[in-house]
Amino acid sequence: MQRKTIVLTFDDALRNHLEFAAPILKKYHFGATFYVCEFPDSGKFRQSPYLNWTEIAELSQMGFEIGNHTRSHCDCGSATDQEFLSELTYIEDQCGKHSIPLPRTFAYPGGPVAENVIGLLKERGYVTARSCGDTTFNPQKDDPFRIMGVPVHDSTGNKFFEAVQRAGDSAYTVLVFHGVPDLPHPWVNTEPARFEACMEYLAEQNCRVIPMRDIFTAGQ
Amino acid sequence: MYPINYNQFHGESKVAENKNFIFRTAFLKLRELNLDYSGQENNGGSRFVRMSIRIALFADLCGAEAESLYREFSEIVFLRTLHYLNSQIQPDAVILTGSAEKLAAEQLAAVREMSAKFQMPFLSMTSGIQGRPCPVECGEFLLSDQIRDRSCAKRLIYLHNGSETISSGTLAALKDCHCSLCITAPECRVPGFDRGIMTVHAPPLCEPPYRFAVIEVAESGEVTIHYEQYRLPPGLTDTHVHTQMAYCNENMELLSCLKLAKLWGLEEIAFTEHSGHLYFKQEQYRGEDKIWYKEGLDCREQTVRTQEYLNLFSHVEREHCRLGMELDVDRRGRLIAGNDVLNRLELKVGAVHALEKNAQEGGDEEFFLAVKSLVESGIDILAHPFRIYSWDGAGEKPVRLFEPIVELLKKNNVAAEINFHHNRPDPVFTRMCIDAGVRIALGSDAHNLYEVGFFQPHLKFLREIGYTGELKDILFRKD
Repeated sequence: MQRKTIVLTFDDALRNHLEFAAPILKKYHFGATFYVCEFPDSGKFRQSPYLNWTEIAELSQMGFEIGNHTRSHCDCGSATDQEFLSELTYIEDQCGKHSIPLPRTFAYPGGPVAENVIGLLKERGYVTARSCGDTTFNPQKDDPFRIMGVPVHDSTGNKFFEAVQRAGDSAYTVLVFHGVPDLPHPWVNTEPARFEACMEYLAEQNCRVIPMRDIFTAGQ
Repeated sequence: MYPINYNQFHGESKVAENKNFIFRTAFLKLRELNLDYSGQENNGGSRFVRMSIRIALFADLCGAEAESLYREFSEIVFLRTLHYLNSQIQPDAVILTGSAEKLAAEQLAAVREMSAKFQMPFLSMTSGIQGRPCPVECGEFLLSDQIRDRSCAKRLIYLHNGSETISSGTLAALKDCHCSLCITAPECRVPGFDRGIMTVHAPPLCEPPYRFAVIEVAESGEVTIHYEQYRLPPGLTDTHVHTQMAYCNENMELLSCLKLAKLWGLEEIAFTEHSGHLYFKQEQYRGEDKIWYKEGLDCREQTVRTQEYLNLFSHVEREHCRLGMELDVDRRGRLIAGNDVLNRLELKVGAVHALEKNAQEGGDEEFFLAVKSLVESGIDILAHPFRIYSWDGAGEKPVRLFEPIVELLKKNNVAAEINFHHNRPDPVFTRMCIDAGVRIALGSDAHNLYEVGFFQPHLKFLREIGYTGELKDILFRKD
């Protein structure tokens, strides 16, 4: 029976992506993409809940893909071209400074596709852009700049299991996690135990779990 | 007279190193077992004994029959033969006979210098060109221009010097000393009763179809001969030729390339200069920081030579020649060429020449995305697929990328190139392309004049991977 292909993505560069999620992914030999941005430290927490660039570089060295989520998690739909390019370039420059490969995949901050930036993304050499939704992605047919990722957090109920079940031969399921946990944004929080259970389930189902950059070669 | 660049002969390639390593390892194993090559036990020490021999043979490097077009490039032909024998055929010995009387003095000097670069014994019966002095031992064989006495344990391969008829007495003497083979110049005559001595006439290299012989004498004494020829089957195009503007060119020149194309019988030749060389200085392109790859045409410090390249074509006949380019991409997958240039090109070859992450250290994704960008940008041919993983054939290719790249090529109607310039095309990948209906382009990737239209390795490769159909059914053709 053909293995299900799951594209695993994490948004917003939470510290627990490195400290908690990454070791679990390595245990199961899963690939993943971490879409990074720079949220300001609110000072509410003893330690910043976000990764710094040295830590992001560590994720990259572990073999994970670092994708672009704009500098300030901006509202791409209302940004001018210049503003958007500035947001993109900042992340790219930071990657360059920290010996992280140039990001080639993008995730729209906040979820919806920003039609106005697709042309700019293509010009800059991006090959995919992920939004949030509830469908699978067929790399042979579907638009790679409108990939729908299924958000998975505590309040999404059984969506995770349904999304994984939907994956098939040419239908890849893209999953979107945020913080594990996500204390600054509790509405997208995933409890660590739930996250562990999800990963264990993917392993039991013998899923092929890949980063976004492998979406065109995953069939092999 | 064309400058000959010997840089490629100064150091052993990794493939040659690997071959030597394997040979040494096999030799040591035989020593351990105290066995010689024939499999019989050998008391009191052992040695690796070659019981068969392969000889490359040609005559008349530039004889009286040589036409003027051939004469102009005689030393280039010799250089091609030198390279071909050293890197591909690898015989046990090379023999030259016949005449080189039409070589100009400078050409003769170049040939003399080149003849020292053979990686196996080179014997010359041609006046003015010196090889290794006879006799030369090759395993169980003795290559000699003298008839040895019967007590000589070696099997004689007799090199008949001169163009006069071989006498019956000579043949009788050869018979007496168990001569395996007699090699002569093309015009030498052999008596009707040859006493069972096989005589091979060296083919004249300077006359169409410009060929040489490869002779194998087996342990059993059986002799087989096959011929390698430089004249090509009709209807072929060399889709990948560089010019004097490439930083890595050795002696290229447009008009000379066109003449060589005519000599070898090419229908067409496409000039495809490196786009990166036309936008950046040599130190920028070849420098370690690869600024051209990191910034592409966003880079502020460009040295644009595209007009100079286009101007090269204003002085040549365009009937059998295409103006093309070998297009680089930057790390974002953007072509290193402006639209003003792209619109003028009659052929676009795309190539991956750099990666940020080393290919062997996990650059697969970057490589695939670079190929995808190239293929989807409208190129006609993907140059030397996977060469970045295995320069000169050493190094593993990412087999898991074969199928997705074949699919990309098929979907975008892009041909896959067979290219032997510092490269060994992958047989599995090429076969997958053919089976999927992806067109195949033959590209010499010539950086030296001797490489223009040098398709013998390509045609042999197609046979080796099992393709026995018509070339026109699989070869790329630009309308």
